[in-house]
Amino acid sequence: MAVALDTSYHVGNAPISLTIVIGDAQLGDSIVSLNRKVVGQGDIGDLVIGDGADLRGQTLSIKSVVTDVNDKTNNTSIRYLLKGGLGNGTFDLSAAVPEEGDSLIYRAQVHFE
Amino acid sequence: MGAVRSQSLLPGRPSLLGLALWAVPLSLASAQAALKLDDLRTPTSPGFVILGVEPTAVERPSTPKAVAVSLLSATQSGDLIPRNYALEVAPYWLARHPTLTFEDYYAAKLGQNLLQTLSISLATTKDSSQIDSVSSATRIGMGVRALVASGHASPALAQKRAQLRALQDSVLAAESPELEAQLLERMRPVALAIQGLDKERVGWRLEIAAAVAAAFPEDDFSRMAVSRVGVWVAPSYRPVGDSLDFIAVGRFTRALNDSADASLLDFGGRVRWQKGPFLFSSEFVHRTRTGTAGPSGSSIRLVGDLEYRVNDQINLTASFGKNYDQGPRAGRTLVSIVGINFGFGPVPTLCLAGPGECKRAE
Repeated sequence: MAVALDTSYHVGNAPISLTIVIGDAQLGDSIVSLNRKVVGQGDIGDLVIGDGADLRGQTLSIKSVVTDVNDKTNNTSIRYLLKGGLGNGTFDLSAAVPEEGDSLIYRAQVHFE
Repeated sequence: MGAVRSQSLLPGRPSLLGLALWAVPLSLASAQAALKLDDLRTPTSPGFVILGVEPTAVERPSTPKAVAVSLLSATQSGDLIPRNYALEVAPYWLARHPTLTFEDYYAAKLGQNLLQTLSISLATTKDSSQIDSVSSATRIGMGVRALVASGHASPALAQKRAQLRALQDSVLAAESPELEAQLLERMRPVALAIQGLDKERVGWRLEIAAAVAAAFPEDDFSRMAVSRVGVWVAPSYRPVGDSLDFIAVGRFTRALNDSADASLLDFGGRVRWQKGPFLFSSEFVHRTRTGTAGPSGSSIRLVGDLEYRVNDQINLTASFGKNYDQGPRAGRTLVSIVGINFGFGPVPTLCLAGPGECKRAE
């Protein structure tokens, strides 16, 4: 099962950074690619993607896997935080796993404009 | 998961016939994770305790699932019809928490910890209370409990997290949906093991709870009367690297019925030790009764328990000892119970997700 996000983010000239927060006390892992080149993997915190001017027109791809390790809830959630651009850079995705201990794959594409 | 405790096979007084069931899980999961005896145990809700129908007097503090339903049947007539019900809700986990990380959960400070572990329970029973004198009535108990301290992560957690991370890395590298699905399936037992380790925290834990009971004599709503209130604390300690638990309890209960004005003050403790499929435990509680109705005095409960896990779904239990020599059970103090617990899934819960999000496994 996969959860997908396809969105855009307006950038200026300042550096753009990405933070990924795995919520609901679950455990997750992510791989971040810019134009199919891996720029980060694992726990993503303030990962600098590049200068806004250089990123305009490019697409950031994020693949994350979130595992239900919390026996008090089957909810999983992931928050993408983009900073350095214009406007709101917070994107939330969430879904419940069908069975205890299941995992979900989250895929996000962010087009820099 | 369910538990059926049979009539005692030992000579003596009729024993308690207990039937405890969790809400039926979504599916009969086939996870390979090792099952601890604690997974088969029903945490005693304060709503049951205030009604005097708790199966043990001293329980190791545990964290609640979002919604749990337990059915406890206590009867001496031998039928299996559940007479007592309890519903326990952990309000915090009914909502999503997108910024609560796994590290935040384990390192929660006092306020956050209270929120994470707070549960509200509602219980009913049609049985006679052990304390007050109202009979032939439906009793309702309502309680709250929370953990002031939840202990520290089990030493085994780091290794399991590393194992899960390695599998997650493989999923991220997988390029076909089929390979992703295979790897996701391999992660489940590791995830369930990590879930189980939350119950294996070490160090100090402290649970606080309070409850109130009301009686409806002759099931007449207009005659409702608050019959009992209680507060208690239960500290426990588990040494690092051991399957040994030391649990203490201090509880004050007061009956408010005019004809049964009595207060109970309980102090006691329990020691539990798990070795492979065996769980040994022994509890001692000293009870002091004071009040204007009935004799005042003290009494003790001293019970030893042995549990043996036959397989993932079945474990055998045996309890023997002495119960309190007070109240309706005065003079009938023998505890001798042999029983069987049946589990209907490794980790039962009620699915609170929306339609279509809760599916049985193929």
